[in-house]
Amino acid sequence: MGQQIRQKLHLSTIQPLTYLKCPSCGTNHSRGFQDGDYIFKKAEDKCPNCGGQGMEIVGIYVPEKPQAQQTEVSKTSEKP
Amino acid sequence: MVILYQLAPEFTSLIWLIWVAFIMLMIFYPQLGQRFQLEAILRDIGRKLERIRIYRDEVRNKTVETVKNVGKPSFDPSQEIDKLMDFFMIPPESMDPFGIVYKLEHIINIGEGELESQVREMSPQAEDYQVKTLSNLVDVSRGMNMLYRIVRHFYLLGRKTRNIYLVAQLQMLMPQIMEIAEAFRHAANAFSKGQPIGDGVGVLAAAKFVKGAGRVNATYEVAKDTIVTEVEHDSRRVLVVRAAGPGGSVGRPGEGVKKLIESNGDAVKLIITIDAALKLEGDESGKVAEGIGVAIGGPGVDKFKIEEVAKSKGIPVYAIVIYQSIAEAITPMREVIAKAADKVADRIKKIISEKVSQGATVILAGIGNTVGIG
Repeated sequence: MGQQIRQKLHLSTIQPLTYLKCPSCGTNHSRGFQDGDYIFKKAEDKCPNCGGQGMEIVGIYVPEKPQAQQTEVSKTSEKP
Repeated sequence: MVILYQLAPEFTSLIWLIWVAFIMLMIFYPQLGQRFQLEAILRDIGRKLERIRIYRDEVRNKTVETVKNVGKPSFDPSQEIDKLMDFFMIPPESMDPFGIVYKLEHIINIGEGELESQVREMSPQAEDYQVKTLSNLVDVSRGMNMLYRIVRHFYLLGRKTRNIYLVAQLQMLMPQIMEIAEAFRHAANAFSKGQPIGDGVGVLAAAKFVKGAGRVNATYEVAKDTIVTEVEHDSRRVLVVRAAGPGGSVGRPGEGVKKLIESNGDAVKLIITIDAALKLEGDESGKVAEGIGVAIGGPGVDKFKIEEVAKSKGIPVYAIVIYQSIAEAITPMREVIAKAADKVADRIKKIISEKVSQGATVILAGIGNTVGIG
């Protein structure tokens, strides 16, 4: 029974995104969370917009699914 | 049945016999139905218990793996972690409640210190903030283990005593228990990677307020793992108290606020606390609400200390809470909760300008676990 349950439960982990702000051009960017990231850290990433260094991590969170997409998912998961 | 009569009328007497036997069975053994029900409930709980056991093992293995990766011990930490999973703290005797808060604080401080020092011993390569996060991860393993043991206890007790009322109560609680077990599982993942969790929103709001205030006058440690940042807002002096990040810690905000009030005399005119609060079903996650009192969860030591000092000095206490579910509080922070921190930072500015006069001092305490927040 344990093996069956284990297969069914195959880890669906919640993955947050890291949100960065460029101090040079002020634009916001996001990427997948990387080990060592924390809010207010000066990241080593280059700004994809201006190439500036020293982007600051301004947020790490799990983005909400858009409302339309959520409805679509719930519709498809409903059995007739 | 009617078809059976039509097809084979000779079966009539046999069917009657079966009916009579069934009725006799029900008369002389009325618990039969209950037995069937008991078995069905036990099977259902058994399946869920197996699931919790898998979660428990998964969380334990993740803890061992993370300690190996981050702490790089020279030995296999599995046995040590198994030992820590059974670590316990005995709360003080409450028959005579006088001074119980300080006794409880003493026990908690010793317990946390002991846990941290044991994690530090098996993680020689980990930095201080990583040791704190690893201690949190071990705490999650302990919680998961305790949950599994409690459910198993009532399941086996119900099976042994064949007590349907006992197992029915457990079955009714299982949906909430499973939700908590799932949350522990995700929490272990968040702590193993150092990701901010929903409970950290109070700390995040306080930190965002400091960012928005601009110039920082001073930053220093006021109590263990608790820092104070002095800023100015609209000609008011604001002392922002919060746990030091980015390691997983809640700090000692009660002790911090008490020390600040003692050292600042009568200059403190308002205490504001910000914390995550449990929402009721149907409430929107990330909803911000304001009220009066001290918004701090946990065992109550910090809350007691702030209430005590605020009462003795006659300082008003103001609270801001951000609603979320128990699962959201210990799993990676959701967008709606993170965005609420910005709203709270704006509200704090407004409250400070409205409630206290220029030149006065305000203490702002951001409460919560600071994992992933620098």
